[in-house]
Amino acid sequence: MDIVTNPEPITDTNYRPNTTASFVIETDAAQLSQQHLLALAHNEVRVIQVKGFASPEASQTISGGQTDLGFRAYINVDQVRRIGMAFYETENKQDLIEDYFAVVRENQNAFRDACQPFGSPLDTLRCLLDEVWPAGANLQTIFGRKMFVGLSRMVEPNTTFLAHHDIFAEDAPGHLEAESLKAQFAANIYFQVPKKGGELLMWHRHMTTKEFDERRKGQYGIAIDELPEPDVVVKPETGDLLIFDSRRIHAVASPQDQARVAVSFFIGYRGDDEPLTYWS
Amino acid sequence: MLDTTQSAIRVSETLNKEDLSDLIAHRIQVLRVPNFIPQGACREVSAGLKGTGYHDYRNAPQVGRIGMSYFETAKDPEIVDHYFSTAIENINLLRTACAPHPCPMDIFRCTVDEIWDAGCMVQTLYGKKMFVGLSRCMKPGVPLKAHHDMFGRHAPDTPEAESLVSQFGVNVYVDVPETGGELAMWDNEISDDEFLEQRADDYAIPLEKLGAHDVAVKPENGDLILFNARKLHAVLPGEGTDRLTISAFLGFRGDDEPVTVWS
Repeated sequence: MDIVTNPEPITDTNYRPNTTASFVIETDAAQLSQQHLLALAHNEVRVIQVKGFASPEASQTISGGQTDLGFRAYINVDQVRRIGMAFYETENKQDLIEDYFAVVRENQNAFRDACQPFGSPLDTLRCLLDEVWPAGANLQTIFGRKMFVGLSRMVEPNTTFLAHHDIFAEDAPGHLEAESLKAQFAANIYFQVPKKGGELLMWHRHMTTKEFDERRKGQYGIAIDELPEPDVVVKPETGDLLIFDSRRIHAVASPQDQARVAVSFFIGYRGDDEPLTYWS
Repeated sequence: MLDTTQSAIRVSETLNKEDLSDLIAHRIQVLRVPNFIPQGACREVSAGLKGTGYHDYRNAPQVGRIGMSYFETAKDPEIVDHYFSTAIENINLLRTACAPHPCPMDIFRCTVDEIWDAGCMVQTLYGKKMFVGLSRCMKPGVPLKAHHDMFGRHAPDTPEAESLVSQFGVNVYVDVPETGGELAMWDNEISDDEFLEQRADDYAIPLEKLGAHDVAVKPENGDLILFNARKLHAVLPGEGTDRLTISAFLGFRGDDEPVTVWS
């Protein structure tokens, strides 16, 4: 397909969203369909932007509720704060894996409570995925245990979420659940977005883990200015849901005026006739 | 044989795997989870449902519903088409009616997916997603007559129905009268042929044709109640106010299979 790249020069604080480009599908919750997810899985598009997935009122309540729960830095990424624990943080270490599973239920319920009186948009999305995908959608299991879903994350002003890719098999090497994935998407619902900054930046080119590890120089990701201009720039609005190909290099442009607050999880694709799975 | 004491009923603070497994293994007949939705949410969800508007079942007059039960299709191809073509929009209609509160059926589906090893999914039939989350409104003084729920009767000769090992009723009680409206159950698990013979031309068996029920549960606002739907059950008449529920079936096919939900 015709991939349109952004022709304009950009600076770190002035990305030009190109949502009209053919690699971003714009839709809403009622229209989100199997075809959209197939287009993403088959590399026809990079991003599905679901406008207004959460209402402005719900977004305000939820971002406040998340803040009250208290964000803490990732174990292995100082600059990004979260509630709950990402499987990525376990780094295949037994004690951290135990820590991860120990707080699953508590954190899932805490997020539901943080949304009240509003319904959790995360639950709605899980149900919607099950409804639109013919083979259904389920919570991912690993080691015979249910994984966590629904990581709240905050990217504070003047910090950058470095460029990285998310590949389940790198966090759970040798496990069938991870190795069987044919595609991996990230789903983010944004409850607070800065007026300036906070864009999702993506690059088309697949980077091998070897190249990624060399270029990240001991950090968790690659500095944006060490990469060419991003091929896809999407500026979410408050309440939007973005679903994108997480195995390609992506980053978050530095928020300028206020923190970017979202809830996030991954969606695993194993074929058109297989159930989707999700986890954080 | 059903224990005729109330030990057949378990009350639990949370919906968890142990209790669900006991229900599935028929160690208990009824599982009740009080405060599955908060009281404040019940009032607003009730208003939202009434504002959306209830319409009578096609084949069970005096029982109003939002969404459509597969039971109503009565194997009529046109009604079956209508059921499937409105399934997703009806799920969304329920969500909108409950907003800003969460649709209780969404929380139920997510929670069961979190506790059941192989997960929980919406039932498919003929390659299509079924509707889930039927909301029912029962007027005061009107019972829901005694019946059992057999997916196989409505979807005969389908792998989806034939693979079913057991079928459970799932009810979330949004607005219940202070008096009456009990879920009544009988020990007997009668065959579907026997049931069809007993109900004759009616949609179900009038309560007066049966002996006293063996178990009764009085639901409170916000309760989630699960029960073995293959046993005869009924809703006793309520007094004073309408009885509003959101309901589904839960299908079990084995410990390593996903459980499925539909209405």
